[in-house]
Amino acid sequence: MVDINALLSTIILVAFVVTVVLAIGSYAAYKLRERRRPVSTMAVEGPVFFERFYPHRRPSPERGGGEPPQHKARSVGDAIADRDRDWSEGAPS
Amino acid sequence: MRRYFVVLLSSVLVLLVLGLAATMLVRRVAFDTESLALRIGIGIVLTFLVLLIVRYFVLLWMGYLQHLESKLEPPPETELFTPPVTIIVPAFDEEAVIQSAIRSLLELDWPQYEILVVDDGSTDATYQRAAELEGRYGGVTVRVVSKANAGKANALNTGIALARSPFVLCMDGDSRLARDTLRAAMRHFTDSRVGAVAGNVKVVNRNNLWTKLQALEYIEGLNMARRAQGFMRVVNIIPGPVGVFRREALTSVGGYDADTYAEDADLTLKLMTAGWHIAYEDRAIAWTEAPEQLLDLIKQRYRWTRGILQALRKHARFLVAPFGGGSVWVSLQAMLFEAIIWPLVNIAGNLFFVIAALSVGAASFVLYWWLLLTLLDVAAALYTVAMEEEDLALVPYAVLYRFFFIVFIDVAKLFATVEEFANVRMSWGKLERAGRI
Repeated sequence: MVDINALLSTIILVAFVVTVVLAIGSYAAYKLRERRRPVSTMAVEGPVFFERFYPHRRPSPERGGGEPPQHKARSVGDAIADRDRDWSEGAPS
Repeated sequence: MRRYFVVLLSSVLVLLVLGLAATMLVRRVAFDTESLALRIGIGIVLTFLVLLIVRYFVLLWMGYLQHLESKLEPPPETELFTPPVTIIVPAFDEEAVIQSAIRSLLELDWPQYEILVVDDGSTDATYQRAAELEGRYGGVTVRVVSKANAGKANALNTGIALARSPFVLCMDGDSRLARDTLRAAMRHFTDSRVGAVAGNVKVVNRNNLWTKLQALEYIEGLNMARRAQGFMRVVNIIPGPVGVFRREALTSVGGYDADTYAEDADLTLKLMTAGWHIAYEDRAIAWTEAPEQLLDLIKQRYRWTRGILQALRKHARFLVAPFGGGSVWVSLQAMLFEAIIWPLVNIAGNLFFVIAALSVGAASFVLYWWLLLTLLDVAAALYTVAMEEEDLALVPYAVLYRFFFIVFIDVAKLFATVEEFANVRMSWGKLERAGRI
């Protein structure tokens, strides 16, 4: 007659040990996968960390700054000007 | 509500019974052996058990106190406190979801706010898609800016610099906020000492075993710890998917730094050690997509662990002595404990028990051990799921929680800890998302 208590204990024990082995194996697989990832072709110039952000205003045409480029994304300078406007003025045009 | 109260009460009773049972079990094993080595092993197991139960009790009890506090009727002046808020949405290659993200943010319950999308140099049409929605919608303004790619921390700092409101909400581009998020979080700022409010992150894609276990883990593990810390107002990680900040607090500590892999943990420590109180709000909910594959989950936890350790190393002097006050010191110790000590103790405790039980020829104790810890986890799952009024169908997954799911997580944490101390190089990488939101 099989002792149910011992049987369940064995199952739990084996399952736990297998899980630990699987966990270690999964970690190894993760490291292997990361190592095999293609390196980005976008070259990063200079350090990415500690890069200070300097907001700047877009030069106006009257000051000889030339025409702003067409169909270009809103610059951070424009956004600074928007921010400095009174809140009640509403959305930027 | 009555149902949840009954569940809460019964869970507390179960915890008490389990604590008593654990003590009896270990005492019986401890006195049945004369070997010194075994006594040491059993001592370790006993320590593990005590730590486990104390940890659960502290987290659950403090969490319950925070829960009671959050149910109190807010003072009348809170209703009148409705300052404008800027929601910063950093976005990198999110063209498929950015419009739906903005539209969902337009539904928030708050009289006046702006949505500021910071396109972090996307290589797709994220900016164009977002810009199509630029404009004013009642009390809500949508603005979109574009900048060169420099990472999430840099994008958030840009947003903070451009924000026009005294309060900012920082989120992930691929998360969604619950409608009440601002209404719930902003009431904490009537206290001028509060510099930030950490929100409640929930898993949205509960479609396989891993994501269901993560959904439970967020409720039982991460949010419960945050809730307990919230009672003392020393939450040690404001989660990336939802954090509301007093802009003055952010600028006073210099915003986000990009020198760790856990910029949210690092910023939180900067705020905390600068003396700001950090509250937790469980109704400020952000739905986020959890990794669906095991290797992606390991990658995420590896990065979290190393990032947290880097943040702790940066603020190590506050770990050594309570410069920032007793509660800050305790919170940092808890962070160190959860990041390094607990995963090690968890695995070692279980292994020691198995070895000790086999050595004294008492293999049947393995069953009791498993039953004891599993019942403890199920009780804690019931307690926390009830407290968050979450899906009770998640509770049965607690059976797999400690001896299956947490083993994978703790092994990844252990290796990450070793590699961090060994200075092994790591890359940021972008988690693969299935786009379920």
